[in-house]
Amino acid sequence: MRPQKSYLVFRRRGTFFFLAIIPTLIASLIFSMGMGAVEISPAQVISILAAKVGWQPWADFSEQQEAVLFAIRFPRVVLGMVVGAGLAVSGAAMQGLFRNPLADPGLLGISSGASLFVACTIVLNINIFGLYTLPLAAFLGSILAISVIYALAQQDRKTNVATMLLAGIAINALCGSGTGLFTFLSTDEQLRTITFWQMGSLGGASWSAVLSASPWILLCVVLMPLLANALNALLLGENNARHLGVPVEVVKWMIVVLIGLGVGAGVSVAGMIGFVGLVVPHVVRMFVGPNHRIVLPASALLGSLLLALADLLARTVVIPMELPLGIVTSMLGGPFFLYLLLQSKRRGRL
Amino acid sequence: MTSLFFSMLLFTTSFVHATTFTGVDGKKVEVQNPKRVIALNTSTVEVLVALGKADLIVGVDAGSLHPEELIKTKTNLGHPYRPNVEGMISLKPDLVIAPEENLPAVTAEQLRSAKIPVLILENSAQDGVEGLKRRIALLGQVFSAEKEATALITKTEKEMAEVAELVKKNGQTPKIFFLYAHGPGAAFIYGTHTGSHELIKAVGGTNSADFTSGSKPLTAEAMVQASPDVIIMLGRGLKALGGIEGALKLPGVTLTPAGKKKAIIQVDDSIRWIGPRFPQFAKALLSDMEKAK
Repeated sequence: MRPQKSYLVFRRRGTFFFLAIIPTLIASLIFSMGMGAVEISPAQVISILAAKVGWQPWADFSEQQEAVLFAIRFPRVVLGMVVGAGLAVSGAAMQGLFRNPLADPGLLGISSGASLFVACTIVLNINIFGLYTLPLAAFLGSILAISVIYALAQQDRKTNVATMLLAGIAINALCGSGTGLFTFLSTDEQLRTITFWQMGSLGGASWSAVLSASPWILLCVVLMPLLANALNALLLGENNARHLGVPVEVVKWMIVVLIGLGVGAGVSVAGMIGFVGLVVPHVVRMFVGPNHRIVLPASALLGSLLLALADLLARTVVIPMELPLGIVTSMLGGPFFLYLLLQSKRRGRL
Repeated sequence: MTSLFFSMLLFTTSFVHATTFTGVDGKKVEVQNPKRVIALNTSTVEVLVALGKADLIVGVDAGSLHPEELIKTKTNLGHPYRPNVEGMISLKPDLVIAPEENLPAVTAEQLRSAKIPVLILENSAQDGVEGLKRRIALLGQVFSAEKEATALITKTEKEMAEVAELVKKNGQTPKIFFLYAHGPGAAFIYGTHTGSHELIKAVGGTNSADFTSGSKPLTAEAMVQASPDVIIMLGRGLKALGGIEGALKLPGVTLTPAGKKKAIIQVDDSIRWIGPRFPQFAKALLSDMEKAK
C-alpha cells in the first residue's frame, strides 16, 4: 500500500511544483530585468517590452533604460535562465546515469577541459575569432574532454560507467595541471583573465552570446526529458534496464552527448558556475520524488530560477560593483548542500 | 620624430574641429563636448585633472587614489580591471575612457550597445613616458584642451630631464627589483613590460627581474638569482607585510644584497600605471635610494 501512497503524494506535489514555479519564473524574469545599478521598475519593464511590439506603454521610461534593458539586462537574464536550466538538467541526468547522488557535470571533465583550453588560448594569445575566441575554446575543450572520457570508458563495445567516473577524475586532474601550467606561464593581465573566467560570470552576456549558446543548451533541456523513462529504468541497474527493453548503450551515448552540448555551451558563455548542477536535482527530488519524467523538467525550471536569482544577487549586493556569479552560487550552494546532507543523515537515509 | 608627430596633431586640430577619434582597439568614437566622463586607471584620471577637467569626471575605478580629495567625491566603480558595466551606465556617462588593460573588450561592446561612447587608450605602461605623452596629447584633443596638454607634456619632459640629470650625477646603476605583495603568502615578481620596469629604467637602474616578461609568483631561488641591490615595494604591500621587517621574511629576501642592507624602499601605489606623477615617483625613488646607501 505504502509505495502507492507516496507515489500519489509525489504526483500531487509535482503538479503543485509546476503550478508554482512557472509564475514565479515569469515574475522573477520581470523583476530581475528591472533590478540593477540602473533602476527600472517592473511596470517600466513591461512597458518597454510592450512598446517594442507596438502596444501603448503605460509607464514612462527613458531611452537609456530601454538601451540597458535590451542591450544588457534582457540577454543577461535570458542567458542566466538558459544556462541554469542546462546545468540543472545535466546534473539530474548525470546523477541518474551514474546512480550516484554526488555526480555533477564537472565529473565528465567539462569544466576542467574548458578551463584548460581557455587558459591555453589566453596565454598563447590566440585571438582568431575576436570576442568569440574564448567561448569557442571553452566549448571545444569541454567537448574534447568529454569525448576522451567516453572513449576511455568503452569496454567490450559497452560503456562502463564506473570506468567513466574514474577516467573523469584522471582527466580532470590532468586538465587541472595543464591549466596550472598555463597559469604559471601567464603574464599579469592573462592571469587576471583566467582567474575571472574561472569565477564565472554572466557579465559578458549579449544577444550574440544568447543566440550562439542557447540552441545547444535548449537541445539538451528539451531532448533529455525524452530519455526520462530510460533513466528511470536505469535506476534498477543496467542489466534490469536492458531486460526492460531499454537500449542502454544508445541511451548512455545520448545522455553524454546532450550533457556535453548543454554544459559545454553553458560553460563557454558563463565560465565555471558551481553547485547548480549538483544541488538543484536534489532539491527537486525532495519535492517531487525520483521519477525522471518529472525530475528533469522540474530541474530545468528550478535551475533557471535559481541561476537568475543568484545572478540578480551577484549584480545587486555591491552596486555599482559586481560579484562573480560562480562565487555566489558556491557560497549559497555549499551551505545549502551541507544542510541537505545533515537532514538526510538525521533521517537515516544516507 | 615624436615632436613632428605632435606638431602635426596640433596643426590638424587647429583647422578641423575633430570630433571623431580612433581608439587603440580600432573603434571610432564620436566625441562631442563630454560632460560626464568615466575615467578608468589612475593615470587617465590624473591627466584629466592636470588638463583642468576634474569636474567632468563622474566615476573612477578602485585603483584611482590620487588626488585623494577629488577621488572621494567620485563614484567608485570597483575592480580596476573588471568594472561593472551596469554600474558605469547608471552614472549616465557621455564618454568612457580607459587604457586597454582596464576594460575587457566584451564590456566595451556592452557599453557601446547602450549607446555610450568608449575611447580605448594605449596600455598605461606602454613605452613609458613616450606613451604617456601620446595619451596626454590625445586626451587634450578629446577635451579641446590642446594648450594644457602641450604644457603638461613640456612639464613632463622637463621633469624627466631633471631626473636624467640626477641619475647622471649619481652615476650609479643599481640592480632593482620590484616585489609585489598582497601579504606574506602572495608575493610576485614583476619583470619587463610592466610600469615598474619603466620606473627602474628611469632612475638609471637595471631590472634584476628581467628574466621574465610578466609577473610570476615569488620563489626564494628566483629572488636569489635576481640578487638585487635595491627592492622596491608598493606602500600598501609593505603595510600588508607589516613593514620592512615583514618584507625581510619573504622567501630569499635576506640572501640578497638588498636584504642584507635592508634597502627595501616604499614606492607609490600607482607606479605600475604611468601618469603625470611618474617623474615625481622617479625623483622620490632616487632620493630614497641615496638615503638607503
